[in-house]
Amino acid sequence: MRRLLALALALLPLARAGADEPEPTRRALEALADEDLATARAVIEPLLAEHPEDRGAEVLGGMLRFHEQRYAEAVELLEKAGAGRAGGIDYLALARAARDVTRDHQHAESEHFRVSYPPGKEEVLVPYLLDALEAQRQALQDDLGYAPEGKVTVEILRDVRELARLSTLTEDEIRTSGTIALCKFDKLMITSPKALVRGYDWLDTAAHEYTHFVVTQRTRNNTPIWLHEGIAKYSETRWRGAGGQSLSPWAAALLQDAVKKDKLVTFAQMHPSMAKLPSQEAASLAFAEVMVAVEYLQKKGGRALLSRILDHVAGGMPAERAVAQALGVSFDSFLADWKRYMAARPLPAGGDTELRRLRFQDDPRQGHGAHAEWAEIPDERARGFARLGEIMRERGRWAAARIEYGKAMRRVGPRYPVLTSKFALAAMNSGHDAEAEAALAEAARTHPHYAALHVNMGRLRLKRQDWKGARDAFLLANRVDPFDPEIHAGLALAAEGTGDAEAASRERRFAQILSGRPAGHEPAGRKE
Amino acid sequence: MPPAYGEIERVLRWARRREARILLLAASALGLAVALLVALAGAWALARGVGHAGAVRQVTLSLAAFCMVGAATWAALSLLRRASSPEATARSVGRGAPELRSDLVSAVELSRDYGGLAAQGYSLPLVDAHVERAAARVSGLDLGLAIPATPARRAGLALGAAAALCLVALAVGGKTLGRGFARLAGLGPPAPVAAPDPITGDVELTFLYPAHTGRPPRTVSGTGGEVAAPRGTEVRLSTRADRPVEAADIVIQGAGVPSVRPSTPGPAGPAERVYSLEVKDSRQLSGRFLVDEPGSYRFRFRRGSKVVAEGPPIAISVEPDAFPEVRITAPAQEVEVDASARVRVDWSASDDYGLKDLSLVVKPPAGPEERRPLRTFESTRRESGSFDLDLAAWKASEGERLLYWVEVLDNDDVSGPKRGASATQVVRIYSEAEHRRRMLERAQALWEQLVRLLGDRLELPEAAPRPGPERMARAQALDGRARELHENLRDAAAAMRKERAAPRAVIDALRNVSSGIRAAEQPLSAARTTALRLAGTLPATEGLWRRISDLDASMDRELEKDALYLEQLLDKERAQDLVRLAKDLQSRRRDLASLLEKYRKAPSEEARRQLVAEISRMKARMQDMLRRMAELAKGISDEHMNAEALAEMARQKDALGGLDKVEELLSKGDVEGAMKELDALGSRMQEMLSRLERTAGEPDEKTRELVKEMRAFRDQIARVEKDQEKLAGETEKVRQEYRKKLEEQLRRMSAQAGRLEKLAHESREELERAKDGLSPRAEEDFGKSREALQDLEKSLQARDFDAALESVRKALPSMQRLGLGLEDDAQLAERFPQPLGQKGPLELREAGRHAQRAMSPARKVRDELERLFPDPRSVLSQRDQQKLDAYSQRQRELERQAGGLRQKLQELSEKAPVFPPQSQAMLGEAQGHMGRAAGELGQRNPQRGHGQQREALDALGRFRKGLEEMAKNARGGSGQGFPFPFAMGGEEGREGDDGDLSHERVEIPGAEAYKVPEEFRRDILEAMKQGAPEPYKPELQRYYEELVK
Repeated sequence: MRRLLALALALLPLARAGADEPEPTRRALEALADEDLATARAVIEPLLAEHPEDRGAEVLGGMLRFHEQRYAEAVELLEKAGAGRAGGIDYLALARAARDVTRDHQHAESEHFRVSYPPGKEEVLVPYLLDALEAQRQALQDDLGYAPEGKVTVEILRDVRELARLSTLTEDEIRTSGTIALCKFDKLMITSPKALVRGYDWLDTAAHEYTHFVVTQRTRNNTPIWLHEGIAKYSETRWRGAGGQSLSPWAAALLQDAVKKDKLVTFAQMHPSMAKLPSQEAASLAFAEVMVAVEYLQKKGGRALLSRILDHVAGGMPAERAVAQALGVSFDSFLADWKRYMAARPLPAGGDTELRRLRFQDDPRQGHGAHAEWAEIPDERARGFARLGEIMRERGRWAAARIEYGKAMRRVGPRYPVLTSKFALAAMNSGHDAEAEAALAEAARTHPHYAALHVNMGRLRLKRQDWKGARDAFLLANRVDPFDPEIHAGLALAAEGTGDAEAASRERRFAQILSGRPAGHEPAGRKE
Repeated sequence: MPPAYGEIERVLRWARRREARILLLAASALGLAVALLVALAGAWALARGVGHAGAVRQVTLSLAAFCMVGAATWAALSLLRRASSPEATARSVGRGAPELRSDLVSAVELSRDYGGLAAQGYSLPLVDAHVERAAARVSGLDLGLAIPATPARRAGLALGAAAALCLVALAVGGKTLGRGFARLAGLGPPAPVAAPDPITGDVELTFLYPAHTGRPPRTVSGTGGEVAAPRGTEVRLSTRADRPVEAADIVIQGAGVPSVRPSTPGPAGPAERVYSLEVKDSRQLSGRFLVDEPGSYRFRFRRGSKVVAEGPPIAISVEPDAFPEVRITAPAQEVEVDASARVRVDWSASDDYGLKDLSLVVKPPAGPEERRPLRTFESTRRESGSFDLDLAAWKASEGERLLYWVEVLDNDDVSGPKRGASATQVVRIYSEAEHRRRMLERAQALWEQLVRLLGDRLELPEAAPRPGPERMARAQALDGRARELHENLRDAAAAMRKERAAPRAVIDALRNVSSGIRAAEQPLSAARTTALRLAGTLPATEGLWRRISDLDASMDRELEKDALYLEQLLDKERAQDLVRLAKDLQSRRRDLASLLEKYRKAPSEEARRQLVAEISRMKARMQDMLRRMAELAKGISDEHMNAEALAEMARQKDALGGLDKVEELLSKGDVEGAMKELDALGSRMQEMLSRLERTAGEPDEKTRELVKEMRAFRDQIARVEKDQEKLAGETEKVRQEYRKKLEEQLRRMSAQAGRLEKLAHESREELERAKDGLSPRAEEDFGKSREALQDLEKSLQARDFDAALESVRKALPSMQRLGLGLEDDAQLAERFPQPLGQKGPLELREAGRHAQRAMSPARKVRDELERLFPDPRSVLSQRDQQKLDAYSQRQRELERQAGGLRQKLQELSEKAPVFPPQSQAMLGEAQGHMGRAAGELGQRNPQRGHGQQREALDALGRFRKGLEEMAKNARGGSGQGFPFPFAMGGEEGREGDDGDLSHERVEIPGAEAYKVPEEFRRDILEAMKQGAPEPYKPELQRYYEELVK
């Protein structure tokens, strides 16, 4: 709110009416800050029509155009006004950056979404993204009783540098907090999974950001960050099923540990953004906390309770009061109950060991080598066996590699998906499919976001012509690492197997785009 | 055609052929005979020079050809006449067989006209009958008679006669006629050559040689005038004409002009040089000429300008002036030295007349050849010497090659000096990086071998419950490969040890790994061999299979551990190599900057060219280095080389780009800009170097942990050693007390040593008598007893009573076993018949008696010696005894700690092959001595207790030094804390370390500090047994006594 005020004050001298007619400007700014584009448009467009030469109108017009993703016009207006900085945000720089970044973008649309994506490989994301977002929209409408009208723009960005240029976050903040997508300026911005070494759960993330968009609209941007993120985190899996499925075993363990040690991230610390938290671990903990808070609320009162709270918040009631009122207890009681709930919440399988640090491909602080991942295995001897397996694998000695990976697995179990995946690959290549499948199935339960596990599973199922099973496995892999051509080649084969010629054709084309070669009929033999 | 005409036709065909053959033979032989005669006549004419040679030859050849053609024509005409048609043939046949002529001719004619005979009114049956009769007669005809071969025979005879005539003529006419034939055939000159007759008498020649040959003038008389001398020689000649002459010349012809001319004098040709001769008394001729080229000269007499006589050509040959030769005799064709080395080059040069200048030519890695004069000679034909090739002058870098050779000129000032050059030699600048790279490659190849072996072992099918023969064979083959790997590793370590640049840690690691593999392989191979031998009979549950399985697992563990450790170590070494390479690159940049600075201060075109050449050289070097850096980085796993460093590698390519920029600016004359660019390049390189250094020095978590444990282990060893040292010092005090009390007894015993020696000798002699009656079972005890008694004798001779007592104590039990055993054998032999060749009971019993008798003198010796060494308890004070008790307990505690250390060592060894298998034995040895020391101290024996303590300390000290060496190596690298391998001394030796002087403090032991180790003492006694030549015996005795004191 303070920021909004500052922005208004900065713009006041620019407004034509000045102190005499501050209301339209104020309303326009408030609407833009609330991402209420319709209201903003209703105020600014007449201003701009009546006073096209007014600097204040130009600034507001530029801001509006920026929110409308009409970047060239935004730049023109803001440049004409000779100023673009307002409320600590340099709109001119943002508009220029957005114009430059999206200059060659291509577009695809569904009923409620418009995807803007760079030409090339990102094309493979589009159909999945549109389907997931439409599904999410429907689910949110069911849950929150609201869905925005019109089309929402989703911009796919090549890397975190572009995300930083198009947002108010710095590159360091993005890397530190592991932020990969944002909902801001009336649009969703998603970093391409290509920018991460192993990809990420990009569809859940898109759904997460869209939930932010809906909540912002639903509550006129009055929702505090903890509740905002809690609802988004809880709901991000709604497009594919129930909510609250996204809590990773590691995050759950982190949460339980923090509760025991009383080292939770407070709601206040989460403000103004999760991306401003000091580390990925802190961000993960905060997300886990708020997700469990919403889960608790859901358990207490279901969809109706959450809807009631949002109604209060939309009405201007502080969230704490809204929660207390909806629950019929004090907010402190809610906090105490929530903590108890967190402490008692059972850990998901493998929760004590999972450690997934996001790795950006162009980050020099992250290891690039083939063996850096072994460092995650704390058991020294297991690490040694894993390395030996790797040595054998590099020499095509699959049978020996299987034995060495197997020794490592016997010491640490299926906790390390990288190890399980390699073991499975070696087992498959040395004729031990059943062994591979058992290991993969176990690891995939605890590491659903590890694409290689699903890919290997997909291979196995393709081999025995379990087309549906293969399709499921490859789709799971695609949720994380959609740029692997083998996934799409596998999907093409699976679709062929089930008689879905259209999907087969599309996936074959995607595989071709990604690999630069026609899709083969034998997906095995990919890089591992 | 009448039916019978076929037969006539056949006979006529044959007749025609025979006629043709005879005619052809006759014509050929006749023609050839006449041609031979014509040729003979022509050759005679040519040989004798009759007529014009050309015309004679033409006529002769034409005539001969005419004869041949004539003969052929005759043959053709005759054939036409006689055999051109059946009628002609019939007539020819008829001439030889007149009785047939008419019938035959008419039969042929009738047959020819057969078709029209009927029209003409002939009776065809009659014609047929006539023809049939003629055919019948013809079929019996002898063609040999009808067509005789007489003409051919006659012609053959004529040819033979002509050939014989030619041969006779050749025999008579000899070479002259032969040359005539040759000329006729177109070989040799067309006319006979008549050598002109000499027109002078003997020639006296005086040779005045050119100065550079150093040869004195020489006069030779009575010669034919032939000249052989070096070019530039002045020849003076005198001779006497065979007739009075008015004027005379000598005409010199070069080798290109025919030296032989027809006798007819002619004018001098263009290649001729004419020198006038001085004529005295109408006949005495003298003159001179200069030898310039090979050829000939001849005398020519003139009357006025008219040549009246010309002598034959006389040869002039020029003695060749050989090219000078120079050789480099040392060093070898290619040597590798340091960049600042001075290479001593030995050379030897020679020339047939004389040497003049010697120069050294060097072709540096960049730039043109450089020539430096080395020596100038004064009239010497052969010379040798040496010079130092100072490599510093060329500022060559590691790995670069300089080519050099020596050139020499001879002193030929007539034709000009000739140049000789030695073979091109090569000096390669020693490159530590290159050597290290090669060694690391070798180690890497061995690592690959190890990994292959491990892979093959792992892929061996499961053996449960009992391996089949095929698996056994494969497993045995793998055991063989393990042995081979052990040998390869050991050999590689030994070879690397000789290399200056050898990474010590890699050598030690290879040795440790080699030993570890050997230790695992030996029992495995042995067990497998046994199992293979018994395979058919061993049940599947037999423990041997389990043991083999355990040993197999142990071998796999060993290989796994080795593979991981070696990989890390090699990565580490490569990372350090990268740092070295980067430093070298940086230093080159500084050199370039300094050159640039010089150029800025004093610019010149020459300096600029130098600078550009240097940049180009540096670029080439950088490219090479970057390539090698890339090669090195390729195999590095990022436990040692993280992404940051790898990204840095990519950034280095910018360095090369920077150098391009420097070059470009320099070419534009922008020196300031070039310097700035070079500075910027320097900063980038410095940053890169720092990062590489940091990266190369970072150990991973595992190694850090291991190093921590090893440090703790080393500290523990040091503590135990310190405590042991302290305890030994305290024991030593008690021991001194004891020795003081023993001194008097020792002196007394020395006087009795002779008697004891005699007893010992007596005992051994008696034992020797038992030898002939020994049973096989008794041989071992006999051997032991004899050996111990021999030791006893030697110890007594050396007055080492301590050792003597030990020996006799060792001898007595085996002697007793021997006596009793032989008695048992004798009894057995009495009761059971002995197999052929076994000893009988009498012999056995006799031998047993000798063994028993030998015991008595030995016991006496023991008793005497035991009296000499009284129980310390009877000598030492109560207080000292209590002290020894306490020491014994402390010693036990130390032994226990040593046991703990061994356990720890085992644990560390399982983590990485940093310790060789012998290290366990070394620590075990220390522990053993500690245990024995505790026992001796418990028995109140400070003498022996202290000896054992010193031995324990010795073993501990050796072990600790190895640990310190490891720590030093770890500090030596740029990295901190990598667990470098433990280097064992001992049996495998350090053959390559002769040149290394250790700067460690050396403890010089005091005279009483050591008890002579048992093994050493035994060796000396063994040596004493070998005996010595009589004159040396006293000296040797004294020497041995000193040694064992």
